[in-house]
Amino acid sequence: MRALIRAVSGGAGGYVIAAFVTSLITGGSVSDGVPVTFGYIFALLGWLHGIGVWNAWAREWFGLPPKPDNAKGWTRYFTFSTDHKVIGSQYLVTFLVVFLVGGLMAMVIRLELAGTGEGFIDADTYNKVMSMHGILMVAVAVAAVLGSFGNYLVPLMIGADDMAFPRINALSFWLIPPVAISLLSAPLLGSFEAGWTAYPPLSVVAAGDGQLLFNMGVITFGLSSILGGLNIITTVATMRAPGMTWGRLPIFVWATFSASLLSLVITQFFAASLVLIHLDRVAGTTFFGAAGGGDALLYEHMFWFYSHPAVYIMVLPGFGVALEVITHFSRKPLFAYKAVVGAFLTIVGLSSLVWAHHMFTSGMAAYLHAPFMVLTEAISVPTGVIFLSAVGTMWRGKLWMQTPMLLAGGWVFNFLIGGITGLFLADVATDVQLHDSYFVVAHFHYTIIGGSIFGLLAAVFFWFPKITGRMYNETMGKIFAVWVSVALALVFIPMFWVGVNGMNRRVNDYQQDLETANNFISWMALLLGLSFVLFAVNLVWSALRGPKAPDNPWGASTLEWQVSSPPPEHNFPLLPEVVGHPYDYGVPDAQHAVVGGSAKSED
Amino acid sequence: MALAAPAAHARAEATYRPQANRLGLWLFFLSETFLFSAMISARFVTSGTDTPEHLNQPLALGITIVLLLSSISAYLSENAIAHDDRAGFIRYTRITIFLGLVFTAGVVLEWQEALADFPAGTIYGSAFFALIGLHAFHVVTGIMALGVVLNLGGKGHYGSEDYWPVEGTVKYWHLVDLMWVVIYPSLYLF
Amino acid sequence: MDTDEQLERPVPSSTQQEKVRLGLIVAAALAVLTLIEYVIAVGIDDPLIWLLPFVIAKFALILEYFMHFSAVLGKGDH
Repeated sequence: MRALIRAVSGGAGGYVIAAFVTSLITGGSVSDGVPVTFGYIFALLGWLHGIGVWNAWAREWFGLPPKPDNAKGWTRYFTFSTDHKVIGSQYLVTFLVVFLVGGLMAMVIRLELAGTGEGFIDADTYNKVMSMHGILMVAVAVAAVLGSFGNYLVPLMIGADDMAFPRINALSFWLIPPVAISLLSAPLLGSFEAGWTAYPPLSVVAAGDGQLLFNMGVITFGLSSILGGLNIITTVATMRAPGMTWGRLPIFVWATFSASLLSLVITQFFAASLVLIHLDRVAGTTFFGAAGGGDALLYEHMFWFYSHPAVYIMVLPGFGVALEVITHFSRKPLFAYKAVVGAFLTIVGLSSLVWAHHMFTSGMAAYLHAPFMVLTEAISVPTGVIFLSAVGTMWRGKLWMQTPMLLAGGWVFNFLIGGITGLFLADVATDVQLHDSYFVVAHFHYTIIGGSIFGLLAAVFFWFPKITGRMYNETMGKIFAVWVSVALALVFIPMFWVGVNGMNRRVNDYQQDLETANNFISWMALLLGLSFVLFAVNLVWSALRGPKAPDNPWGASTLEWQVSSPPPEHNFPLLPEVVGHPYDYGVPDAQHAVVGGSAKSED
Repeated sequence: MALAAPAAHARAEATYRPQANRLGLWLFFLSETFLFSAMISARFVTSGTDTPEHLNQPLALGITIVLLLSSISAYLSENAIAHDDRAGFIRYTRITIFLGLVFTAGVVLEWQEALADFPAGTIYGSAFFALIGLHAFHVVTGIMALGVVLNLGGKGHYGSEDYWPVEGTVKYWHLVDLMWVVIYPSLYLF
Repeated sequence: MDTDEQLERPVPSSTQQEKVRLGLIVAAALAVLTLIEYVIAVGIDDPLIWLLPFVIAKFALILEYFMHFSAVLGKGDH
């Protein structure tokens, strides 16, 4: 806890001093662009210094012995711990909280949209709440599965004792709280209202200086994603246990590996585009201002060059979780394992060549329409292979319908709707009609909730016993799984309809004849929101009071289930040896790995 | 089993550490390349290959040569420590840092002139200051990293079997040069 | 360094002097390429297409001889 207190005071002190000194030099107010920029940078440095980067790491650079914080027990979650399991748990709890906060904002949005006109909040506040909801949820989708389960499980699944760069791993988590704090404190500077996409010219000319905190917060978040991706790739490439060939990697490891490849390189484009927005706002450059000869379309290209592949950073780990759960709960080998791996890698390559399908109505050169349409539609082929694998694995399997399996089934169904409706948006002729309507809102909520969040939920229940050492309440879990799936359909299927009927996204008002439908959607959104109360109650109660979980409650074959729950420090007392494919269920005498000296041998 | 040391690692770190370090550094370079590509493409999209009349070409060529020289001395310093030549390592690292500082001073000088001729509010100026600023940021962080290894090397750290921090820092310094190889013609020559 | 140790290594490591010479040759090549670049740029209008080969050549030289790029491909696999 001392580290956390030092970090908070370091961050606050850094901000106040740097902003104040800079404002004296520039002669302006402390809330001007330059003081806020320097304030943020020094707040970040102060925060990192306080949390333990100096003690555990930077002291070495000056020839001093490092002083790592060896806190034990629950306080280690508030230190610069380099244990990948602690970091994974930190990510998970942080992003579940952010997810619930973002969900509350969705409730506010739906309250306003329950009726026409300005009802619950005014248009200005609506824009700000909508922007905040957007960026928080995008952050959750990007990092909730990859950061938490990726960190927690990848070393366990490949038979390693930690990530390749434990301190960089801790750094990539501790960059997250400043992002959350700066985004949530943006209202102090007038908030940001340009949506999570931050399109110029609005993001450059908008009055709210919260945009500055948005820019820098998201750049920091990008740095965290890049470092996290780098770490996962290196870990998978260099630290696999003996016998763990690339062809024997669990599918979740392949999924996080592919998502990490994407986040390593393309995140730089979002960072670069926001740096340019920031320079336009603060330093008087004119990258996107038409008056000075700049080009707002440039931003859209740079932004979507990141943000379309980012969809796959969000959903690929979700795919991995769903396939993992489906194969264990169908008691069958994963269907078409090699084809799925090929599909993941194809998606990595192809996804960075489709970005301009977001820009069919933006006024970009017309000759770009056809190639981007074709490439976008081509990406449904590898995605289809992944579906085929999911369905083929379940086919004639002995399905064990526990909560994770129900949610993985929900993943198949919901992402299918998201994928199929995407074809209408990839096709230029229909997209021109549907662009910026609620059809798009329904589509991407189906892809992201279906592909990423359902993966997250399935992962939470599937690995809950491993991480906490306790079982969740199965009845509550099953009720939640059914409840959330039904409520999701009731919220978002009508949104396709209101979208086709002309309701604009991003606007707090709509035509009179859609009021009944919107009123219905809002009530159903409340139903959806309430399901997460059950989710939270189940998890918190079970983590504190649930029955002790056995080491391998699911009888699963992969390595993380062969150690105790929760896993011992450094994971494996002896180096495991991998001798076979991970999913050879039903194959006589098949074995995935030999784990010697496990904690089980004590009893 | 219960008596085994509780914090024992199942696998010796030495078996994967060199590979992991090298791969990690190259992945970071790959990522950096995308950042620079984004900024360089912003230059070409907004202002094409236009360059203003008042560009201090001799100064730009001068700092380019200085950066190239610093790359050689960085190479020599890595080569020296790899052969346990500590004196050579210290000498060449000092030269590298000095040349890096000269480069930085050259950029400062150039910016003072440039601000008068094409301020940041012009379209070429935007690209010029953003791109050179990004590169100069990397030069400055590179100088800091060189300072760290120089200090530790002077205190007796590193040797022919164990000079990864030097190797990594020098590679980073070469990356800075590598980016300049593209930025220099993009901003001055095309 | 005695001969036994050299035999154990997969690639015999060159001495410090040989590496210094290699580095200086590469650096000289880079300097010459840079100067040619400059001369072309000053002499020709719209020289982009003429400069690209030089950029690529310099890029490749630094990547290979200063940063030892091929080493990562050789040793990164296993």
